[in-house]
Amino acid sequence: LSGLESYLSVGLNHYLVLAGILFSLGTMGVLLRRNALVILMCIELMLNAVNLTFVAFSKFNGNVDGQVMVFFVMAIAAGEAAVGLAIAVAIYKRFKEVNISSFESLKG
Amino acid sequence: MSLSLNDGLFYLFGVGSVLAALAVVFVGNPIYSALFLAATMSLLGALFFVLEAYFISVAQITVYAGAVMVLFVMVVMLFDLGRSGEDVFKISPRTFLKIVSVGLLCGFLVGAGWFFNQAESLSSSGTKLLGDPVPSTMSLSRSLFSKYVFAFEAVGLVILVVIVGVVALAKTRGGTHHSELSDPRRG
Repeated sequence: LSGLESYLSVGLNHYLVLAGILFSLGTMGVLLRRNALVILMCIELMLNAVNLTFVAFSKFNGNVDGQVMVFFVMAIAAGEAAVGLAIAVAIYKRFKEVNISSFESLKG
Repeated sequence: MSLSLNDGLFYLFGVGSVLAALAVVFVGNPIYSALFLAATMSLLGALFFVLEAYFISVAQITVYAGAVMVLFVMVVMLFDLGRSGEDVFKISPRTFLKIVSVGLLCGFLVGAGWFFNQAESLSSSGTKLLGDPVPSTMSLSRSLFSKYVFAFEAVGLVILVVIVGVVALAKTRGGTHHSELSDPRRG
């Protein structure tokens, strides 16, 4: 039982495993879904998984630089969501749906 | 060693965030995906709180669960996409290939995370524990406005460019294919 407890007591590895699972789920969403909005949401999910590894390393190394990086990732992710949604709006105005296969017709 | 409160909170929020992320991917309706994504963000914010990154935790809930998710939900409502379902699992060899490749990626990431040895990597890279044993909000802001001040200003510039780009994109009427306007493609 003590062996099980040593596996269950949370360390850096547990956070890395959780972040890996969340990142893979985001990748799966990007690959499987056809709706551009949901694909953007899954990209946000992947960015959040990376943020979790940053914060976990920051905690377990006692170093604040990881949290600074999370701050920058958040700012860039917010900008990326805004631009992605604007492109989705442009797609919807033209095709009346946000299916990802409509994007190949964008140019100019 | 026995399990502490923080361990229990990690498992609670961790399992919750994985379940919510599964729902984001496999629920067909975009509005439910958006709501489950808000739940995932909030649970990850709670995990950041458990990790004692208090500023990041609050910023996570404000920026993601607040601003970004409201943006998504606004777009879904604007276009009335709430009823447009989607069958996530189209049975095809391509779907099978995608699931297998994501499974391989997941196995790789989880294996790397599980067998990562912090002590070895720290000794090899020569990182030292600096100053505070636990990073605080004050040390975060000090670092942000001294060591990373150039990157901070650069992020401000990037956000300015994003504002201009979004306004320019919003003014377009959607695509430039005037020859195809008579029969819009429905992909």
